[in-house]
Amino acid sequence: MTRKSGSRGSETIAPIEAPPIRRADAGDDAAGWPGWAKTAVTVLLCVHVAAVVSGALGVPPSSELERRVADLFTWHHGLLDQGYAYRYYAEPPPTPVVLAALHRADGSPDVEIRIPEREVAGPPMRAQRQLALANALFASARPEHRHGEGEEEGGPAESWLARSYASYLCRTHPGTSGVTLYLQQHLIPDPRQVLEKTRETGLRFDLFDESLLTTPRWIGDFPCDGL
Amino acid sequence: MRRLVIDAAQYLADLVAATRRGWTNFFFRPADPTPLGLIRIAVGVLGFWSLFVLGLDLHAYLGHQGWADAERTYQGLQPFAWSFWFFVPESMLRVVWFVCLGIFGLLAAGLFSRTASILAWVVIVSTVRRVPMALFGFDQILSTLALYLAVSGASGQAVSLDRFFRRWRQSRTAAAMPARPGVAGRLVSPLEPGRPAATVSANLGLRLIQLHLAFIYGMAGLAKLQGPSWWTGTAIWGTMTAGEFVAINFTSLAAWPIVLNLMTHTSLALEIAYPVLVWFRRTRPLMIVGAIALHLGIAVVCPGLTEFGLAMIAANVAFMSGLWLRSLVAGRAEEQPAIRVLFDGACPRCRASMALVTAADPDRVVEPIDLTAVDVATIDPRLSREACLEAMHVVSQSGRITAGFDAVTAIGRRLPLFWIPAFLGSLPGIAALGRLGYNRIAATRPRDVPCTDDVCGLHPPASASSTAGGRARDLTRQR
Repeated sequence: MTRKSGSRGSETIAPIEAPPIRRADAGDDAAGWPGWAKTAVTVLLCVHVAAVVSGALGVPPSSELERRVADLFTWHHGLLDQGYAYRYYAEPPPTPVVLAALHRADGSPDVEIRIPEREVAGPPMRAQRQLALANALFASARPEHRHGEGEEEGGPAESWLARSYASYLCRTHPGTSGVTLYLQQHLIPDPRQVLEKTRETGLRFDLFDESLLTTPRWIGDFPCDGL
Repeated sequence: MRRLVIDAAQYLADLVAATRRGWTNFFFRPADPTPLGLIRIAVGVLGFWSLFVLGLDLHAYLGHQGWADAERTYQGLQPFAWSFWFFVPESMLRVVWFVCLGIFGLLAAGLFSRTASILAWVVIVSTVRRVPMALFGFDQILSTLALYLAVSGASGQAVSLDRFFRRWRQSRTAAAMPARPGVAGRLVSPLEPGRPAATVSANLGLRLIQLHLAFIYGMAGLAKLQGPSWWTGTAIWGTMTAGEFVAINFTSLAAWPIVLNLMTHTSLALEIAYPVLVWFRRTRPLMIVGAIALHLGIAVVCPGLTEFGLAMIAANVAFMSGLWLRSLVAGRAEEQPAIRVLFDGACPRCRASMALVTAADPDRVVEPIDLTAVDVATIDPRLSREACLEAMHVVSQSGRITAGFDAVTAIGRRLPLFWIPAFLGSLPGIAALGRLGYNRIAATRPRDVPCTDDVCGLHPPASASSTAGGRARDLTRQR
């Protein structure tokens, strides 16, 4: 991965971006753009960069100023889908898990559905999408998230997304009379706990150990005929 | 006081002038479009794959009564947000999904690149808006890359079928020309050289990706500074032992806290240093290699984030030199031409075949030599005119000579567009059949006849003389 000089002329080959290659057969725009085009592009670039930066900084925690500037570019974030925070794994959180109990109309035992499933058939990306869905349900069921959603009904942690998901389960599982949704958190094990347990049992620590799964928290009951 | 004001004004004037010069130099100078072409392929393939995976649960994600009710999702859109998926009837979902897959296919192949890149961006944004409950970092990166491919309009300027077909038309036109007096051998090369011309539009696309990527790493690094586990050096433990994410049990690392600390601090240091050090020539390779290692590591730990890692690696290609990327397949300047191909210039079919080869040449990998115009012994003393007339011969830079069907596969192995056919042609059974077929065709090929549709499908232009007027390059003369 070092710069290497070729034997023909002054051409150099480096793995990193080289100075622009001006060639006799270069395209039309190699000669340079007209001034008005550069000005127009410059204006667009400034607006875009400001929108991207403010979109990332305007997400909590943020200052009043950052939020106000971000609000100026709501149109840009809506049109171009670039208002992201990019704060990946700022603190690795526990993983939300959604448990659905499907009550059968014929009185047979409930059917349990877990999102994300323990074993998702197909590519890993499919499981990743399910994890995102569980995250979204978890986020939408948090009291602070629902604050101000006056039209919400039902249980204390019910959200439109939870209702929509329950409705989907009712439709795709004929014979279901109602759905109860729960949220659970899959905790990250403490390294000391892992070492102790490994010493005790002599076995590798199970990442699905019961101690890592919190008690399911009820979100709401959703009768299928009411959805 | 007056001096202070004058100096301050002078400083500000210099600053404005320097900023203007720097801005112009940064955004408005031509750049090799090769990295952008490779990013286009990655976005096309990843977009195709992502939509394909969504299609495994099509109605659950994109259906009107899927996991997230379409009406409520639509009502929840932020101002100016849009998505065509809300207007696709349930019965047409699968059809539209197929069409969208086709758009990503076109983008990856570089066919109708400008239109395909805009349509691919529309599909990506529409999908993001329709399934906000199923998104993760991958979707953000893909959307960003697709936007810059679309607005630059330059993604098809390199490594694309658009460019290949354009060059093929040129080389076929050249091959259809009658022999020109004073020119040794027949022309079979396109006007455009293998290496694409540098353009401002390509530079704009690359610069936008570079800036955005540096910003993403910077934001990710700064945000991590808020998390205590990144200070205590245990954050990586949290990601490696999140049961729902990981495919491999890494809990044995609990006995190696220093290793966990090292991985945590290194990851954080990379993300914070990247936005600064990636702009310096000396440190750029370190940043890029570090970023690639980071994303591959994440993919190993969390397979569900493989596509995210690949999208980030693709974005990192924007920082790589097009010349260097091209040399990975074409070889360095002193290694070119890698092969010299002796073809029968009196045979229209042979010229048509060579036109195809030269159109697919990524740089100057292949040097076509019309054997009717040269003494073949000067190319290599082991060659004879009779043998060369019997079958096409390829002489590699190392001196290896192959002939007939084996020469065809040898050429294919040098040209990325033909890697797969060349590999298939090298398989034992297929190679034997190929040799039989080649020998039969070579033995019955027409020679010294006008090149018409009946023979080789070449179309001499009406203004043959003007096209041939010095623009068509004859590589045999040049070298």
